Amino acid sequence: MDSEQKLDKLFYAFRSVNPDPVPSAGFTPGIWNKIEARRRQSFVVSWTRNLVAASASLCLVFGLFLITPFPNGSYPLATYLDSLDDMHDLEVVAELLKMPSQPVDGLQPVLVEEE
Amino acid sequence: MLVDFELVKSAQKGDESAYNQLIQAYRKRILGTIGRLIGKPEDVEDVAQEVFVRLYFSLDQLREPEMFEPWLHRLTVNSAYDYLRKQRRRTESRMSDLSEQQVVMADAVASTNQSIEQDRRAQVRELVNSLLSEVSDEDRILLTLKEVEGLSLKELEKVYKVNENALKVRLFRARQRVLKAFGRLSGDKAVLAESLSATGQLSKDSDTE
Repeated sequence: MDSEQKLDKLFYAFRSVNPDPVPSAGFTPGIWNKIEARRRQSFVVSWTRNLVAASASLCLVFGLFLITPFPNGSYPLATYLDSLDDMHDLEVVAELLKMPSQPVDGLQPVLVEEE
Repeated sequence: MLVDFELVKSAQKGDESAYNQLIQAYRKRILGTIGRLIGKPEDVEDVAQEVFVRLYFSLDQLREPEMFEPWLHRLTVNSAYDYLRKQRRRTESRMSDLSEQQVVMADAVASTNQSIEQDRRAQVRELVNSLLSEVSDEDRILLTLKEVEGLSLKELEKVYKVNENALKVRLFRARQRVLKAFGRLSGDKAVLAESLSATGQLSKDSDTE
């Protein structure tokens, strides 16, 4: 008998001494317990993953908002009074402030004479 | 096929009672295969449960119910492989902590507690496990599926999704390595191997491949 045949016999013997075992009573319930545990675990993992993704998206949006330059006129570069000051058209200023555009008669500016 | 395709389809749709029937139909076979693949009776149920858990979560990816058995075999192979890989790491670290004398004494104590028949069975297991340890975990599983489980090359082709010739080459090389180790046997192991072939005990049927 050559080695090949001896090895075949040995494998066969190995099969004989290791028959299919009878599963224990807790085998199938154990499977369902593991399935439930993995379901819960995957729920927590997916929830955490979603939370992280949402946070990252928010950070990205805010970051973009901060670094993006606004076109002229859409962003208040000066205060309201500064804007008024920049306006040289007195009529417009007067209209805005509801004041007469011409000096009222009798009301002369007081000039302080320097000694 | 131990179940009909309709049952597989129902389980795919999430029918838990259909899935329970699948477990009932295949659990014994899977337990047996896992037992012969990993060689550790105490861990067999745990690994087999892992196979069915993986099956549950991957069943929706199975497109053809006809491929159910190769699919299940594939999951079995993957679970056994993962177990062997982890076990190898653990064994290496544990054995490095023990002196050779301690290992021999531990073996001796374990063997005195067994009957002669159990002892002989344990010897066969140990002998085959030591021979299979000459090849990688992947080749060990492949060789066991072919030589011990009796899967045909066609079936293995479906399980591994590789071409038959590649499988033949791999099986041939793995078998040659095991044969070399078999030729180097000495002492009790050589006597056991001789007695198995000489006495005809546990002899192999002539009609097997």
